[in-house]
Amino acid sequence: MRDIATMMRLDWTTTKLHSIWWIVGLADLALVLLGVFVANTRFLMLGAAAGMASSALMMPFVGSQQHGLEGMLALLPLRRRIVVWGHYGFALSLVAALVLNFAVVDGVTGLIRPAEANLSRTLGVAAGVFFFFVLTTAIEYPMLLKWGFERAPFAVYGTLFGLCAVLGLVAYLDPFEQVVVWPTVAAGLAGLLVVLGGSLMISLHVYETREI
Amino acid sequence: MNERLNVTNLAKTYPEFALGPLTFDLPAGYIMGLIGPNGAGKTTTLRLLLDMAQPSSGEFTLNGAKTADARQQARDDLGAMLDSTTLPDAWTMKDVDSNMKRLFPHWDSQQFMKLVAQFDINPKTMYRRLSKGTQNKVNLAVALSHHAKLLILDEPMAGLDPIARDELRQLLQSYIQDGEASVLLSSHLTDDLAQFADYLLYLIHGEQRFFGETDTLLSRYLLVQGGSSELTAALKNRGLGLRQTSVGFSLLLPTADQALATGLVTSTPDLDTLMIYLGKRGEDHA
Repeated sequence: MRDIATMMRLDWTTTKLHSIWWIVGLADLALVLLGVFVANTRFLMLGAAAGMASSALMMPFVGSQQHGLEGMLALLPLRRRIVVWGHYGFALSLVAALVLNFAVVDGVTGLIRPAEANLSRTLGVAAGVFFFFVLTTAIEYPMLLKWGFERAPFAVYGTLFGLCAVLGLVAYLDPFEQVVVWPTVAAGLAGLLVVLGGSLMISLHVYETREI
Repeated sequence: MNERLNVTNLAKTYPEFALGPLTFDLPAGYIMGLIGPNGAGKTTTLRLLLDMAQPSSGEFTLNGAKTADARQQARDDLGAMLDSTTLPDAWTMKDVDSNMKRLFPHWDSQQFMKLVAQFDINPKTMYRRLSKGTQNKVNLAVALSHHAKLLILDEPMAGLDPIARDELRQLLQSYIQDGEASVLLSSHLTDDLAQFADYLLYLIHGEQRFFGETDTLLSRYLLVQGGSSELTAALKNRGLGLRQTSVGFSLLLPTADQALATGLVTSTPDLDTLMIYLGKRGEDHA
């Protein structure tokens, strides 16, 4: 457990945190300001989240001069399975931080436009962001761990474009107004856990036997 | 003898390339050079020893650890640097130090910062802004800063000027002085290597051509030179890497056949000459 925490911490430090949080802060500000003038910013938030997720989640794999960081990790006193668990731990903690951020921004937007504010909408957006980020992780990580960042750009960009297309469809259908929030969130979470668990198992298997 | 590395019949087969079987050992307190032309299998050998690739057959013991899992657990005793290993882009030397301190139980911050200063690396510059040569120096400083018992270094001299190469040579020699640590390094700069490597492992096209003391390899051959009329059939038959010009010839001759070169100019070849005459595939036989 201590080694997983060490690995997670390493992933957090490989990520250019200051850049990411500056971008997040600016995006928050822009979304709040937009909330003053535009009635509904939740899908803008989801779009911003898509960009944020795809760049932040791949950071632990990005090294210098087109080389990934797998070589460095292979030379550290960390077993391969610990590296995988650590990457997933990093992703989930990042997701949690970003979801919290977007939930707060949505809440603030609701304060600006009290007529449109309600808890179920905020939770719906938060669940949507959470679902999106974790799904991105579950799809991207096995590919990144199997082929490495430099050989798997499609893992990042393919996932981003694919999920954006799905989001576009969701935006078009706009199901949030019709569904009952809590059962939907519960069912979504259960499904997500299954997908994430499967993704983790695949990643552990491919990284254990991968040639670096 | 306390062995840092013991390799027995280690082999790796790819569809396009086969390495081995390799058999060698490295006792504590010595430096071994891994030499061979491009594509000989030097980096593949190092990747196998670092468990970055799985061998097709054979086995090896590294710092007493026999299995991949045990070797991964004992990584603190191993300092390594490969051409393909990089650190995160945004790390400064302070970040490298603070992160490695968490990972390596025997990390020596003082030693790391001393090496950073010695290598003229600006401690505030981010890793991605350093030149490739300087990035290599940082990787080397990391490998040298946690009191590893075995150093595995892939082309550590690449991109270094003669002064820096001399500094590195001194650094590695002092590293093994306590008789506990050993160094295995690959290099194209074979003449540099011949000056301080106690043992050599010579690979040609994936095959182990020689393992032993550096002096033994050099004393195995003579460089023979003579006029065109002095090139006998026996010399052609026994010599290696025959080179002919309009006026004369040169070749490598096994020392055991020294009698064939009576009356000709002979000298002990240096390591570069040896590699050139033995050829890229070791098939340049006369």
